[in-house]
Amino acid sequence: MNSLKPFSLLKRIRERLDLQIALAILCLATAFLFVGGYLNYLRAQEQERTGVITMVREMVAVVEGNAAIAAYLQDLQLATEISAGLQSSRYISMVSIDIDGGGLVSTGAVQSGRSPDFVLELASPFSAAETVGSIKVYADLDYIEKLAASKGRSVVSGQLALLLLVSVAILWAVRVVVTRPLGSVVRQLKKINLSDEGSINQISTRSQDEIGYLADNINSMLSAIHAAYLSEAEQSRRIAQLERKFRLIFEGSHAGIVMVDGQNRLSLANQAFQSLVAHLDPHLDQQEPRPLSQLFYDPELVEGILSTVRENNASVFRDLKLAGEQEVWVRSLFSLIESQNSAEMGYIEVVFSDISDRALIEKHFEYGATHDQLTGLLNRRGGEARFRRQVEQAQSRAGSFVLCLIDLNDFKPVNDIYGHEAGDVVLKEISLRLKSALRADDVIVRWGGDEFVVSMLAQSSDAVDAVGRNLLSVFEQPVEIRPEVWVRVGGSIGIATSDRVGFSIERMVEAADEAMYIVKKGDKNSYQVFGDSVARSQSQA
Amino acid sequence: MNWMIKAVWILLAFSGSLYAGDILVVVSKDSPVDTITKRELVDLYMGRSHSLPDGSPVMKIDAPVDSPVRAEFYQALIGMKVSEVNAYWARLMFTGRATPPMSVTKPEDVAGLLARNPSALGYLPEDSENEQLKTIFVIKEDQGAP
Repeated sequence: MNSLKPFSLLKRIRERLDLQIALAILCLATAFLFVGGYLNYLRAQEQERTGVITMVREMVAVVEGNAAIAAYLQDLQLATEISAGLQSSRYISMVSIDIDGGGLVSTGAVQSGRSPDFVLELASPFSAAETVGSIKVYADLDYIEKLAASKGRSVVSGQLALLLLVSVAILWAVRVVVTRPLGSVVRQLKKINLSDEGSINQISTRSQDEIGYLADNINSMLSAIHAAYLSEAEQSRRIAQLERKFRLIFEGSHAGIVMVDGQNRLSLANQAFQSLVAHLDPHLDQQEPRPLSQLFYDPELVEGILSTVRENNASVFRDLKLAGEQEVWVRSLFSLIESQNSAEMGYIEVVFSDISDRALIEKHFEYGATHDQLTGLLNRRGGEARFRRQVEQAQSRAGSFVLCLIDLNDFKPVNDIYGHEAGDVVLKEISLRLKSALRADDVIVRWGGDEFVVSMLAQSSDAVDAVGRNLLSVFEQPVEIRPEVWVRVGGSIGIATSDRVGFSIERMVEAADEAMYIVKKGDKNSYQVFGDSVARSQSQA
Repeated sequence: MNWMIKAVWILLAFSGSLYAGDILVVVSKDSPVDTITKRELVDLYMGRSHSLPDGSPVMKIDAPVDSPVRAEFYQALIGMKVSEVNAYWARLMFTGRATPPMSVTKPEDVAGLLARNPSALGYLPEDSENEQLKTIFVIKEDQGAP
């Protein structure tokens, strides 16, 4: 972790404006301090040195007259007094007065071999042209250096204090005026989530300066982007929905639909087409597109049709035979796709429907699975599917779903006495009568051996009596089972309505069964509505 | 000739107390010294030398303090006023190394002193020549300030 610390510090500095400014000021201040401080130190030292030398010069000038007289008179006593007087100054370590032809007087001591800092030739007091001696002054360099150094230090420390003060003031000002408002704007920006459906928080700042202007602009930009984002999201949702629907049409279609590219190769084929040609093993899922014509018995004919479509820009309708052993005929509609996309120029759409026996057989299979072979009515399996559809319709229209269970009376004796053929005739006749008595939308199901179920949609349950009477009318006439032989069968009818039972098909059937059972126990040829106390109508037979 | 006499009078009137004319540096006619340079004269009178160039001792004689000839003498010799010369000697009073010339009280005493004392040296205005003395140096009037 320790080795990471400098990195995280560096990262922190890169992310923080105030730290960067602080660092920049610190670096600049340090550089200024080193260079400027050194120069100032040298300057102060030099000033101090020059000042001291000037002072020494002035002091020597004061005694110059007397020294000249002493030299002129070769008066060593006077010269000694003068040199001692001068040397008593703190700035001077040694003074020597050299009298021409009269000797040397010196006071104080310095390192041997040192040259004097200041030499003054002494002229005779009575003849300026005549030199009578000289005065040599040796400054106290150590003391002067000490003085200069302390002066330099005091100057530099003053400047350092000032520089620090100014740096801190600038830092504070930058923090208050720039980084704090900027930081607040950045924090608010971080909180904003564009995918929020609701409105976006506005960025607020008290600054009236560039930061304020920035915040205002960000606000207007954000609201524009947010609006664009929302409308984009809405649009893409709509496109996705539309695409799903189109795909549903394309994939769920019973007709085979294909798209053929400019080289007459299969570009796209739906599920129906793929199952249509599945026995030819065409490998449609491969990357390399296959020519459409190869799937047909007469490829040249197909190629010809495609080029005709392209040339005439017209649709072509034709029955074609597929390749392969089996006799499979498809009815085909070729038409040119008009597209603005140049990549899809010359594409042709073909819609196929299977018109061969195979299709008919398949249809028959489906029919057989859901219909009763004897009567042609729906069987129990087919009926239940239709009930469900009716229940959905009733629910969506807020209407009623009515289900009636009809059990034939006296049917078993017919079977026993006249045989199964007679029974079948009765069932067929009753089926036909039910079909003609009811509306086309109503569902008629052969529920069991001698049981039928009829279901319908009604505006309200008031219609149940009409339904019951209508159903009873089916049993009014006797049935001719063979020429001149008539039998009479009756019906016990139980009726259930969704208003009382609810929309559960299972419950409806149970309820209708219960009601029917009441009729069966009573006077048989009548109808009973589930939930009513008494059988409503008597058989007219 | 009238105008020339007038001019002399005017000159005399303008000179005031200042003595106008050459100054003779003189010694007794018995003195061994016959000549002296101006520098030797300065060194003697300002206290640097204590003897004549030939090594014989000397007694320096100054005219009275307020006499015009004394002022003229120092002005011509070193360019100093009498008061400045007095201040110079006052500064050297404590060292005891140099001694100022002996000052007489009356101008006429100079000639007598010089005549009686062969080691004496003095100065006189040019019109006061006498057979007891010999002139060893003449300070010209126009030599005023050196």
